[in-house]
Amino acid sequence: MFRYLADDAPNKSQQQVCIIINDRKVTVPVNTSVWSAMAASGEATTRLSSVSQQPRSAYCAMGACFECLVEIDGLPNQQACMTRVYPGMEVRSQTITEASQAVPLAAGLGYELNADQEADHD
Amino acid sequence: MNAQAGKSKASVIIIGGGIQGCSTAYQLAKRGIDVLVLEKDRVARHASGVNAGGVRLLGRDIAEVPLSNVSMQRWQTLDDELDADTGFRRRSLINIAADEADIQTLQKRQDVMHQQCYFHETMIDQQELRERLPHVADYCVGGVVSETDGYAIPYKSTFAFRQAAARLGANFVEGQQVQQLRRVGNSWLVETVAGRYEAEYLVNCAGAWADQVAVMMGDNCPMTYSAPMLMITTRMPHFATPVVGAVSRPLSFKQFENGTVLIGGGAKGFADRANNKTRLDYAKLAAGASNAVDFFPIMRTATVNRMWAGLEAYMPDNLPVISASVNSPNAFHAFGFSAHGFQLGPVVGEVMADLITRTHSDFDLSAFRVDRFERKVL
Repeated sequence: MFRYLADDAPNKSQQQVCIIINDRKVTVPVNTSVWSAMAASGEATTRLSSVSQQPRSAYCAMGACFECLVEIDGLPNQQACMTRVYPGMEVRSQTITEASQAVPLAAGLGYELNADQEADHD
Repeated sequence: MNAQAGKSKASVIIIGGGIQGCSTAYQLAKRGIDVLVLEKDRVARHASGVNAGGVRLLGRDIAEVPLSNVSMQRWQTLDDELDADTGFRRRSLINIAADEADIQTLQKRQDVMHQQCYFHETMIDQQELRERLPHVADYCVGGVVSETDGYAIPYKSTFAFRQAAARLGANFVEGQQVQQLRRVGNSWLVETVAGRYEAEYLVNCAGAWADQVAVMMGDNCPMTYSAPMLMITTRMPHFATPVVGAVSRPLSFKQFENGTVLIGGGAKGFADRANNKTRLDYAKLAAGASNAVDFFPIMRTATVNRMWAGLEAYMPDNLPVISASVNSPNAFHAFGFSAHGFQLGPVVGEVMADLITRTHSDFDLSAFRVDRFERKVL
């Protein structure tokens, strides 16, 4: 659905970087935004609405609407449309909802979201 | 309700529409007393509307424990009593011990409490701390818990008292600051910019402005005011059910049902009382945030969404004034709660109503006298 306009140009020598989106390695043009990288890689869902749990993506794509929040290198609530990719960046769609439970990792310094996200809430 | 629609005469006029004033109005109205609340801005506009909502019995000054105890009982059923949603949730409160020195502090406190026959604070070891707070940092060694504690939503609680009082006939006049108090015969004459009011009794619940009202009643006291700051995060995955504090560090937070985390800790911003304004001290807020990260590594992923401060009254000993006036007849004070008065709201209303209708309270209020800082005559 989404593609880079540059892909249509005859000169495709543009520099690429490798990042990880939702556990998948993808190669994207250098200096592109995280949201562009996600959209072009078929990962247009940036987050789930924390109340309705519906999928969300960039609405304005210029930093105003905060719909495109993602988790970058473990930190949630980053604006995908306003952040440039860098090599090795780990991007994850954000799934924090009202029902999310944090499960502490044994190592101590992190957490993972409980897989049972259907959890009941009013 | 505006001044024209309201009555200009009442048996009791309460100055200040915070939780103490609204609770006092409720208790008096319940006893059939004709009561009027004069609020200079809007009900719950200041400390009672924007505080951290902590409903805490844990760690109270010994002098406050009897009051706080009864108040805590009231909170458990307050929604039913007031027929409203105060937002109260019983969640327990844990103060975390970060090291052995903290444990010693807790042990001493425990000894004192047990001597006085207070058993609501229970020490917990590291294992139990981790069971109750799975995300606490590894180095934390234990803590103390009070099971009945929790939080409420402050403006909802204050409005619950206001509405309950109004249903029983209490009148509220907002947007009128008291300018002058005078004794005329056996009555008090209260003058605001917009009106004159008359009452037999006065109650000073004026929060950060209460020293000014006290002076008009003839009572001088060394009250100060400040602007304790709060911040709230965006939603986080649920990681803490109890309200959390620390024994020796300024840490205080609670995670609400929607996942947001309210971080307090008592750091103060800049207070501009004359203009109803506060200004934040971001360096202190940052220190408070990193404190939270130290105790809970998951807080590293927190995003602060909003920050604010409210205007609050403090006394030099951090104990409130709950007292009859010393220099005027038929006048009473309830102010200076020093950033922990919200929990006391339900009981303070009862105490003030007792002081007015029964001329005494069953509680020992000697620690809360308005004249406790007055120097002896040399």
